[in-house]
Amino acid sequence: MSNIPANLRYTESHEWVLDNGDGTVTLGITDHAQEALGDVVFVELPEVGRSLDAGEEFGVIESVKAASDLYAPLAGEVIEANEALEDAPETVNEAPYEGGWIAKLKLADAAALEGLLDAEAYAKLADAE
Amino acid sequence: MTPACSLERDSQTLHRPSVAEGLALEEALLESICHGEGDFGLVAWSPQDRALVMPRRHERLEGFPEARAALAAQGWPIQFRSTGGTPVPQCPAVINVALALRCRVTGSAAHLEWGYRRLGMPWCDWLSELGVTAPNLGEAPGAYCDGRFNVRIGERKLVGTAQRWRRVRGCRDMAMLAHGAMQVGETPETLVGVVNAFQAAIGDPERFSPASHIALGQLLPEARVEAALPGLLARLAEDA
Repeated sequence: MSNIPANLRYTESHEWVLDNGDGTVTLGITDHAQEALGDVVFVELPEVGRSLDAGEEFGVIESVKAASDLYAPLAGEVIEANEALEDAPETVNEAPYEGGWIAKLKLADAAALEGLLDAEAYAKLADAE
Repeated sequence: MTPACSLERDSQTLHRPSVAEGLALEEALLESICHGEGDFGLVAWSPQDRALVMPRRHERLEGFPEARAALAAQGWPIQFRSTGGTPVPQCPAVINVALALRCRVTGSAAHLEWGYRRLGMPWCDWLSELGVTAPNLGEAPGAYCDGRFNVRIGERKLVGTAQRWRRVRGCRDMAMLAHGAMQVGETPETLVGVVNAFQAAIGDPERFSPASHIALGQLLPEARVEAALPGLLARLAEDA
């Protein structure tokens, strides 16, 4: 059973979003997603300063099984990328909700957070797969 | 001795692009699914030229520029692909088949494995039909770019496989590109030697073994592979 923290929001494409409470969010891929991908060997990070639309492709995550695009859960500007993943991409597997975070965004519209899935809805989606 | 496996020219089935053009064909196939232009696509190609193809992340390795120059000097320029894995040689002795599908699922483990079986099982059936004994899916310890879903003969790798997943624009559906590269001609020593040359040039001590690979020409020296290729494509298209 995957770990799905109740304090986070989620997308149907298996990203998690943490509301930092100051108009910014931290995001990464869920425990379910990292389990699915297998050992992560590379994360292509977004450039700081890049503006993203909701649903826009912003990077690539590559595992021993497959390469898959990463999508912005919400519109905003990239204010930080987790450069530690360049040397230790396996952190995405080991701690997907902590050290395995991928980027931080300054939201274009903080209210859009409400449109994401809560933990209960995401758990149902993950179970259905 | 180089196996005398046949690769006829001028086929409507098998494209004969450069490596760069072949990789672009696959990318275009995936993009067409992403743009909703279809739910299914297949492309088969065998390059006219040679290259050592790897994910772009290798570009970040220390010593990469020197390794790139060294391989180019040996006639194996480095090119990049969008699927994962590690370096794989592309040359006229290799046939590539890429299968692209629109999937009403996400890229979870079950679906990744489904994707590999969706490509690999028809490939095994086709090989059996050609007369190859007991093709199967699995790891090939000692092979370059090894994975759980190679098409193997015994434990020797004949077809390497990889996947790329991307979202179909404007909806939740996903587009999957599953790719297989089958060594038809040349000997495993030749292609493994190219990968090991890169390993040496980049300063990575891992070396791969020709004994972990096999070419179709070693199994079926008289086979007219290109003439049989429509059978593989038809099998891959059956469930589309």
